Amino acid sequence: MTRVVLAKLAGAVLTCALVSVLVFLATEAATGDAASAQLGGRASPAEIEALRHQLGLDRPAIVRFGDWLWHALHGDFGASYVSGTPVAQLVAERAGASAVLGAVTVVLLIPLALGLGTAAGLGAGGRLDRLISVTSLGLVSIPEFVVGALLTSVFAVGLGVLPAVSVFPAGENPLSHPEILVLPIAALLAVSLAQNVRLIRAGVAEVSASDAVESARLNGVPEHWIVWRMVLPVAVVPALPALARNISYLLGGTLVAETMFGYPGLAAALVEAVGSRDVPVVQAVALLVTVVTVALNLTADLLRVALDPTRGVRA
Amino acid sequence: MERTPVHNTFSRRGFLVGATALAGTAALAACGTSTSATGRAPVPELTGGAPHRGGRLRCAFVGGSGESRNPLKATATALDYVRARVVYDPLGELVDGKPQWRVAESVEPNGDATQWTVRVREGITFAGGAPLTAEDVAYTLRTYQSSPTVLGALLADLDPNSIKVSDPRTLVLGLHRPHALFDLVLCQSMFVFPRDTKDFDNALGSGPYTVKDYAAGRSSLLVPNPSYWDSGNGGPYLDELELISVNDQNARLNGLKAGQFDYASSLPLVTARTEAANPGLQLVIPAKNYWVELMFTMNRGLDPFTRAQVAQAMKLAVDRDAMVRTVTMGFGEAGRDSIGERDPLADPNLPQPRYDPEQAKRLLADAGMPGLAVTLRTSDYEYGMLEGASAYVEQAKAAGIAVTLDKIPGSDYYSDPKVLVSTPLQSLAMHPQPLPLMLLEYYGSGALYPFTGDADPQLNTLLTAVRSTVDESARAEVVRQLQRRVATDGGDIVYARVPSVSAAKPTVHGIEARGWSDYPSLRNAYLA
Repeated sequence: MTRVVLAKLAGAVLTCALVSVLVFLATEAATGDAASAQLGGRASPAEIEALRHQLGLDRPAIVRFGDWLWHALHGDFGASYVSGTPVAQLVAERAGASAVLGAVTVVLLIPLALGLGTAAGLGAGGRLDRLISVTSLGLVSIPEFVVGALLTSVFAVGLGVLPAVSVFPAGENPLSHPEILVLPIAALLAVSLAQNVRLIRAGVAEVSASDAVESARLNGVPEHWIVWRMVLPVAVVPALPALARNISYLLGGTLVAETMFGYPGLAAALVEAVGSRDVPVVQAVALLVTVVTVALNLTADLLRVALDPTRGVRA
Repeated sequence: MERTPVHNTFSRRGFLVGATALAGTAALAACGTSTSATGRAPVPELTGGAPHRGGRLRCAFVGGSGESRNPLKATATALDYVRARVVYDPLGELVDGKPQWRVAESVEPNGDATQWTVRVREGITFAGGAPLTAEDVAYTLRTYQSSPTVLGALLADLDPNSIKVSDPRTLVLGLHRPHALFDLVLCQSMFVFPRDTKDFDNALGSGPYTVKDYAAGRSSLLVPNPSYWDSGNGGPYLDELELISVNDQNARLNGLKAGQFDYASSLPLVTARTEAANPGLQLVIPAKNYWVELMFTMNRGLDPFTRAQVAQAMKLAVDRDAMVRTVTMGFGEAGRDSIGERDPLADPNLPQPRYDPEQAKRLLADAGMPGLAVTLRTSDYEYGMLEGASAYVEQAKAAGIAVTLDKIPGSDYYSDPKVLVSTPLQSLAMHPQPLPLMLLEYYGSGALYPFTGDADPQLNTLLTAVRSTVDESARAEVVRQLQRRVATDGGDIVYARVPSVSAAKPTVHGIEARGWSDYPSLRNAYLA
């Protein structure tokens, strides 16, 4: 187990290094830089050059990357090329907001996905299954922005019971205004819940139709024992990696929800930074998203090993 | 969805030369309040009766994580600019095309416009209580001049070594070369901060409000400056002013309709139709001098546009009426191939170009270029650019001109100055500024961005005359001559002018454009 963890950790560090290089190369390949993005068409070429010098963009790419790497390894992610704000502060604030959105979504997602997926899978073919399956199939095929627009027009603009824009005042945090989280989370849940329900339903349906479960039932094993001890471990464990991927998607790619609802999260900041060629911010966000994704996948892998019903049996 | 505000907040061609004329209410009344297509008359500025005091005004603007409180970066996003306008006082603003001085009391040139004397108003104090003097103005201008920013670029003609403070209320500014319109330049967002300011993110201002809470990309909460020097003539009227950063234009509108905001700026143009009958909203459509000028710009120094017949044919191949119907959704007006068409100095009798594809065909045949094929560089950088370009592809077919679009992502469109001045044909959207300043910025050998190519000697002579003629009426005549020349022989095809749309609750008043309709002045804003 230790060797597995160490190997995975080494792989994770390598992945982060690789992503840093690739992201830097991608920003290099893009047209223009932070100086031309700020002043292009608005100031003379000499002034653009002066800004470039001020930001250190006139140094060779390898020097800039080396400089960034050296400081990053020492925990210093530099300052935004646009606002001059320390990147760590900017990213931490945005990541905190995204984490709240993601965490609440996940906390709701896991029990709902397990509950609905299991309910549908156990009664496969029944009325409840048909209702859950048809609804989740429908939601999977509707893009988030459509779900978001519908939710906004009904609950915010129409009924006026929820805010249309998920902004919260300076000096406060999103949890002190929980109402702003409702619509973005509902939009995120609608799509990711549907995917996970379908995944778990399939696993549960397959296991509960298996010979082992059938014979346990015939032998009078109580239903709750069958569900908790026989069906769920076998059905849920294979779904864990997919669930982890879904969570990393929620953390790294809540862009649609953040944009639609004006929620000041990490994904929105990343898109702005890419547009303004704010390389230090892009680098830091990319690194953070990579670390989180790798960590989630690592956790899922380890969980799968730990929860594997056959583990220990073979040994 | 909008792209990052750093890119699409300000039209680059617009901010290059700063604020425009005609912001006063009298001029707005004279200009009319736009289209009747909305059913209800929209308002150009939210001016109401006697101002009320108190309350919290919540306004949604384009902002983003790149926001900054640094006055040197006030042009980074709309929200930054609107905030700076109430936290700081500018040297002056432009109202009715003329400077309305704020920190400055008067600004006078010498005989050849190489030296300008600025008198500083007495009795202004910074938020901390320190008096604002000529030393502060000198420090402010030197700082702007030496900074690689949009505001620094405006002061390129100012010689930082010849800024002399002659007494606590007077300073003299020496220029590198004559500039008879330097007073207009000084009215462009020169927000004054105290001498020796080093921490610009926390620079003190002398404006009607101060920042109480601030989070980039989220909101700025402002409260009245209790010692504001000019409160006898207007605001601050509000207990609290909250500027909320919302980058998606539909989100801004939804937030306004759901009651989260009292004012939402820069909405989709179609809002002017969809919300026209909504009694809970007042639409804010600016006076015509603020409308965005949509154009195709031919570089007359590059083939095939070096030939007068080709340039003429390109203009004849545009169906301007169709552009107004489709691109501007009926809310705009047809352009007459001149920038700054609604400027008070503009020639009101410019001919209206017509759509005559047959004549265009004949001209091309005469030039030996029937079946002309051109590439139009365009982008969805700003509403109307790509829409107009796509419409032109169809319209030009009737003249036998094959237009191919070269679509560039919005964030790349203005990023390379060399490309901008060496592209034969491109889409531009210009936010109008004082006409003489625009002429100096975009035409002639001394231009920063000569989109239409190098000028001939005659045009250069006229531009030099504008720059050096101190006498106002003589200069106005030269400006009109220049404008007529640019409209008839130049490379600009201004096909339509399109308003921006903002909206507010009926209780909101006192929001004034004062140079920028999309980034208005909230100094005198109140709720009633």
